[in-house]
Amino acid sequence: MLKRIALTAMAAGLMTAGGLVQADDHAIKVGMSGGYFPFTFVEQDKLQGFEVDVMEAVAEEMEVEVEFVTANFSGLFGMLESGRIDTIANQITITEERAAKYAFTEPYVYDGAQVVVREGNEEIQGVEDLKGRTVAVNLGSNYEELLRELPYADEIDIRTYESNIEQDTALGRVDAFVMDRVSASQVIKEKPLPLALAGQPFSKIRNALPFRDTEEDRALRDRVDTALATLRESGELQAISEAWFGTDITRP
Amino acid sequence: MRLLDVDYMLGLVPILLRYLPLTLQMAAVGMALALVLACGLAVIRVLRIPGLNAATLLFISFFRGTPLLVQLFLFYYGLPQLLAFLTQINGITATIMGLTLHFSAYMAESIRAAIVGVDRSQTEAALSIGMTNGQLMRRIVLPQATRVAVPTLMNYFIDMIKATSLAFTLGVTELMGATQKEAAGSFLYFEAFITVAIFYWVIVELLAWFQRRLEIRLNEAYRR
Amino acid sequence: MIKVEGLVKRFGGTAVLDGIDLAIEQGEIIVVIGPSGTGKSTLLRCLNFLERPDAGRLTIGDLDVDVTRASRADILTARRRTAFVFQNYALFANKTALENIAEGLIVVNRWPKEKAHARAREILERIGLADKADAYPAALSGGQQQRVGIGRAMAAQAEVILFDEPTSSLDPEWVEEVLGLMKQLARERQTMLVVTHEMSFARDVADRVIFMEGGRIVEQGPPSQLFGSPKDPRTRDFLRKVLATQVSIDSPT
Repeated sequence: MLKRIALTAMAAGLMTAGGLVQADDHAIKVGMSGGYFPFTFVEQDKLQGFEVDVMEAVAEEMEVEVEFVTANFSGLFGMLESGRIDTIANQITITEERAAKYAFTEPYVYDGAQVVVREGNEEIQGVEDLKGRTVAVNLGSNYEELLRELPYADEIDIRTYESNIEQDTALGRVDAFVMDRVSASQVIKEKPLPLALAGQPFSKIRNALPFRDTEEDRALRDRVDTALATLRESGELQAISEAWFGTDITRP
Repeated sequence: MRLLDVDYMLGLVPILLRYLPLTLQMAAVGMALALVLACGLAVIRVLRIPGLNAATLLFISFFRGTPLLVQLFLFYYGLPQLLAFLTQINGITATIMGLTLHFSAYMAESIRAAIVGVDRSQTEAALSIGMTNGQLMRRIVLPQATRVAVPTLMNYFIDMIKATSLAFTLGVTELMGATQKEAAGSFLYFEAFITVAIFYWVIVELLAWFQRRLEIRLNEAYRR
Repeated sequence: MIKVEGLVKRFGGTAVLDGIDLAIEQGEIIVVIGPSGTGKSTLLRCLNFLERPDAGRLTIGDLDVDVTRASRADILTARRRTAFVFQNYALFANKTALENIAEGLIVVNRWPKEKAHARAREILERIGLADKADAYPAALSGGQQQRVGIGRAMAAQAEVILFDEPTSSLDPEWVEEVLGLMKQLARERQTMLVVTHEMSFARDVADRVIFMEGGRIVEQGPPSQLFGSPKDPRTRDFLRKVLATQVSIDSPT
């Protein structure tokens, strides 16, 4: 009896192990959090968003299949490092450190960092008012770095979150959160949370797709770049942006 | 204060049901493998097999002494940097491996305690009629130890089911991962997380019911 | 025929058995008496290898070994040829009365389950517990448990049954039924080596009584001789103390 259970268990373990390990040259594996409205999110069990549409268009242009892998944001770079995905489409900002380590495509989103507060909070009118405040950012995102570069960074209580920073700001647990302006505007417009933009964006950010810095992966990056350029010329990239944001965020 | 969006919660149920089998499968496979491993470790500890005993102690110490999440990250993200072929291990397998190793360390100690707790007279009686050590273990000691160990082991199983919710960190969309993504899409956090909480609660209650029945059966021999 | 020569067992530096020589004929009933802590139980446990002796020679049927060199197979053989009845019964707690008796036949003698259960039922008849076949030990009285313990020893069809103070843990009300069963076995000429404080049993049933003290056999002989005219002063001293409390109750007068 015990033996049978053990064998069944092992068989099941091997099956799950075997089933999902399939290296496929004709598919590009794209990691994303699935939890970053409206770039990548799920509704009714369907993964969707700006990033999803862009990557599907890129893959079609490259004539390969696209396979989306969702994981907590903090796990995405680990998956890229360990070769489980080819790139990350999750509004990845080009920073000095990342640029040194990864091979980025050309930027496909131009945006700014935005302070967001609870609706009715008049005390914070922009980034300069964050002194002495508690500010939430997503774990692994580059907004923490942006805040730390501010001259008064020491006086800001920065909290890093795995997810749900909008919720905690709306609940008043933190005074503000920082994310890119585009998705912040979308969150305020579409979702039932009492939030408001505070002032103008305070830093230019450029988003691109990171690849591992190896010969093989740089070649793949070049093919993706070519596809992005074609989509930009044909106006398809702009169309996707207009559809999601009502404005073109793909140009500086 | 807004009203609870009950329609949204009801709509979530069929979606979450799709991810329930994966959660249960990871827990069930993890538990079965952990039981086998834990029995082996416990026997090594009880018999104090030279060399292996020390290795087992180290194993138990490490896997009890570090958080499960750290172990999962270590297997899934860390080890492949040293050993490239480990990239072949997918998130589901890595989760099952992590659950197996982590919980077997705990379970080995409770199984060991249950084995050691079997009265010495039971061993002597079995040896006196000419049983070998193996027969003694299989026929007398392990069945009696099972009765003592089952309540604790079932608690570990319940813990393990809940621990599968860490799998989303390894890119496995199970019950919790599906909920997190749905919540990010709707921003209805309360509705989403209370729905998934009820899912886990119901599973655990069903198990607890099964556990009570099992314990009654195992205690049959000991009723006066 | 069972023979022990020069049996020695030490615990720490102390010799608990200090050179025991003993021969048991088939069908013989031997009772071992003596003060507590003189190695009576250890003698039984050494014959069954529940304790590993430090020196001596053991012969049981065609098994003939130096106890310090006994292989695993020798030990299993010795155990299969000597059945043990424990002071605290030691029934398998996870098995019914029937299964306790059948267990050795199935696991050790490799009998088919049906045959072993049929034999176990016969034995339950003989020990008067046919109606308790499916009862677990926890549901049996002390006397019933010890009778099942004896039944388990009977099933082994060993050369000898070793009784280690079989009535010492029993409430007084259950002692008679266990002694009664032992007397029944004695009438059937089952070879027995019994350690007990029940002097009346020794007097009425034994072919030979052995008095042990300090890990040695001090004196032995038929009960009439040992109880009637003990030669050694230590035997006399022991009997005087024990019989002072027991004989008045036990004597049929």
